[in-house]
Amino acid sequence: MPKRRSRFLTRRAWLGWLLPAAVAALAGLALYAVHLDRVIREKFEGQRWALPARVFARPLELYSGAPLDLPRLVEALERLGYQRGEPIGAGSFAVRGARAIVYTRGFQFWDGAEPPRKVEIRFDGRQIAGLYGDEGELPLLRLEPEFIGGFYPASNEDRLLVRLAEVPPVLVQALLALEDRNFYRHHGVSPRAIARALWADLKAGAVVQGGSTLTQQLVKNYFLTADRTVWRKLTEAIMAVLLETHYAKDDILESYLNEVFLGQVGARGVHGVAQGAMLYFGRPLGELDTGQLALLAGMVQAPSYYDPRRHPERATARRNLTLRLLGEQGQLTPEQVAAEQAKPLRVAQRSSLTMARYPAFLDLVRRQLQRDYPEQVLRNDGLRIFATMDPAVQVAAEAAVSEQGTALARQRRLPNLQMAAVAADVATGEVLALVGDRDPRFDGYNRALDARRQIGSLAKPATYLAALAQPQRFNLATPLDDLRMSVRLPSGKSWQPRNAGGDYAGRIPLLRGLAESRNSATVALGLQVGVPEVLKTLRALGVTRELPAVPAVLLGAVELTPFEVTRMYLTLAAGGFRLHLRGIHAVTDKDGKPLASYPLSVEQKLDPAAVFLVNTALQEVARSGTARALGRVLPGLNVAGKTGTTNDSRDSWFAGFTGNTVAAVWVGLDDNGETGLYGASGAMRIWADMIGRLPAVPLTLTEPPGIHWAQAPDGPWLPAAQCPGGLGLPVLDGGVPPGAAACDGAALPAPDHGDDEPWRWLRRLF
Amino acid sequence: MALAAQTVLNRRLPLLAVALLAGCVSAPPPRPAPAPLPPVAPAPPPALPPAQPLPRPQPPAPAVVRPGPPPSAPAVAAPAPSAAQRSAQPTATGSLVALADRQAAAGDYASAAAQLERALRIRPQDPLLWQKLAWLRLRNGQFEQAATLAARSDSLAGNNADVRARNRRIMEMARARQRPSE
Repeated sequence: MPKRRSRFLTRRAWLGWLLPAAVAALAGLALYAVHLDRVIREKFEGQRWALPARVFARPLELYSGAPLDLPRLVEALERLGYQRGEPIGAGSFAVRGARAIVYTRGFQFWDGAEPPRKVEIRFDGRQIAGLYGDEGELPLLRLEPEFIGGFYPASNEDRLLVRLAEVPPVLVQALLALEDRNFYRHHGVSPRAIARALWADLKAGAVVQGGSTLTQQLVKNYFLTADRTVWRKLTEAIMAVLLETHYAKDDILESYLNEVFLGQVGARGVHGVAQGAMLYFGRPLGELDTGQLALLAGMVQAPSYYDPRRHPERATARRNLTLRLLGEQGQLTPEQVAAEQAKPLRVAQRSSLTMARYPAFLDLVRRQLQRDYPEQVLRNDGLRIFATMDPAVQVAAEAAVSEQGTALARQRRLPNLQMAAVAADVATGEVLALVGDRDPRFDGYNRALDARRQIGSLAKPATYLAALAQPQRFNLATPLDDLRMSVRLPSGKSWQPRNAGGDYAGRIPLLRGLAESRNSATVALGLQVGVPEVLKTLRALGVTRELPAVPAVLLGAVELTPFEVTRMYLTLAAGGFRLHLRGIHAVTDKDGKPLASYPLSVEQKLDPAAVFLVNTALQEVARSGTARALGRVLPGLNVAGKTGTTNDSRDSWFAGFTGNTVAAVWVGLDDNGETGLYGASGAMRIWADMIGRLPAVPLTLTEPPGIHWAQAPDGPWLPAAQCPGGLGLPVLDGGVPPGAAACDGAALPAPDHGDDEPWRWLRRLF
Repeated sequence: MALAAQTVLNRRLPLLAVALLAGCVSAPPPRPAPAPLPPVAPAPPPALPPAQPLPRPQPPAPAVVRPGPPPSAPAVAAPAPSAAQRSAQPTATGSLVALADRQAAAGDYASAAAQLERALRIRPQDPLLWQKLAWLRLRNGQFEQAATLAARSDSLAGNNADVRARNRRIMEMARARQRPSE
């Protein structure tokens, strides 16, 4: 009896211990499940991933008369991942003689849609002769913009979202065949698969098989760490089941397709099948064929092990296995399997994702965006940024910088020789190219934006512009003294500007002073005009930095970055109208809805007629002045430009423009050491090389109102078709040299001494 | 909430058995450590000069959709270029101008301006394109831009009296709207 009692007591004691323990465990579990449930729902509602902002270049415009030849079109199409051969669908093209047949992809631009279409492009030498679509001749079309980079989330995950409906069915079939055949039947976990995996593990004495469903894999990747503990396995199972209770199968599958890790670019993880397609094939997912899709699905298990670039044999075997499975399941015919298995891998050797391209330009985009968008938004919200970069110009600038830069460095025995270049569109002020280092791939100190250097003679046009804006006092023929001089400064000290090489011309026309970049003549002119007037002109040209009010400014004792110099010369190129130098066109959200546009914006602070005279003189710089070598290198372009060299050749500059592009180039050493290079022997070589690589438009200066052509008794002479003998010079209303005769025989307007206001021109309009 | 989770668990009996075991373990696993920051170089101290900002972003296109000109803008229609000018317009820029007209008529001034900028890249010195952009800005109520763009058109118009007369009109209207008291 006591025995039975004690046994009863023991059992009761045991039960008394077990029951509360079980209840506590259940309660704990319930609480934990509630917690997991909340984690799942919070993360799965709303935005599921931080999405990088994606930056696109200016799209290539095709139209009849476009300065584009067939090889350049092919280059552009190949950069976009178009497949050459038989044109069979979006993203493919063929070349037949002087024609290209292209199936474009179309693109939803922020300012309108470009439909996909088949187009035949005919060429006539270096330009497009015509575009022909199915409905006849097309006025123009634009290709989709090149992807040039992104701003990535802190997780460093790159991802391009895709909807399940847009995923080719073969990819889904292959993925399910390989990873989870019962996906549409199980409830998140598959006991049979687990048992099978367990058996395999036991036989092998190690964990060799996972047995996870797609849902479990998604949970693991999305919510959990990668460690293989029992606890993690169980949490994963709970979450998988919870996920399946809340969300539809297709929703889970779509998330899986977007979550899955597919490779690595540097430190960045590439996720999702859409970005995986770009990474390995350089083409959108929808353009991949069965074999390519089978490879992509096969890589999911171990992307680096099956990396088709590093391990083509493994990748081929994996693809063929996948194809075989599809055949066994009846999704492919045996003939299809055999045909696909016989194909090569056709992996893109380089893709837009694998190249760390255009770091300097992206730096500009990031800085210009930072004012309007917080870093968090830039990195996480999947913004689409339409940048102004023109890939053809950028490629030309990079090639010129690295090739000429290397040659210059070798020639001067200066391994640390550095350089920067900026190019912009003269009509719109869009930045087309930006290079901040001799190695254009180097992502660091961006000299184009940050290297402030003395600009030397690049400042001279401001002095001449300030003078020519006073036509009753100065014209292109006004004689200047180019002599050794000493300037008494307010401090009591004196300043002796020197001409390069001790070469003094005596008395020369104003035009030659600028064309030959004569220091003494320029200082003499600047002192007549007044330093404050010149500073005002520099500011009107777009120089925003503090300027010292000393005569040395006349010779460029001002530190500017190549970007700022470009802005200054852009104002000249735009006929005196100051444009915003823009790196961005527009920003949309991830669905393409426009958030902001940055339109062309212009200010006027200068008289276009006076600017016309200065630009004419700057053309003379390149025709017969310090940059006359340009006439030989770039014949027929009539470029306007200016060389710049600072003391002891520490900085070599060239800034100038053609009919469509303005560009500035700087060459020097970061420690401000001497290089032995002048503007013409250093920076100008790079500038000319860059422009020479582009389909440049010759510069034809349009005469604004208020310009007349005349012949002055002593010259200077410029080519002028409208003048007797073909020579003359442009003069402003009220600014006629003594004794000059009008080329058209009309009476020249008399000098108007009562009006020295540079706004005559505008006032006349009202 | 707890109740809901319970029901969920009850519906999933096989899992409950598994989960019982799980209840013994105390702490949930830690979240993965944040990955290192991406290799984007920090901006060097001197950023872009503040005095040359981008123009303020315009509101998104749908926000500016309005039938007809905005209330503050003068009721102006862009002048129709003469037949000769129209036929002289190459098809590429001509079609862009036509598209800009359609978008402006729908109130989408931002996109319309973008088409004119595309056209200007093709023909940077075409005074008619600059004038068109000036009209657009006038309709959009950006009077100072309108006047300056008309001046830009004028500086490229040469002896074209028609173009210059219209530029003068744009400038007059822009100035009048800018200073309504005068």
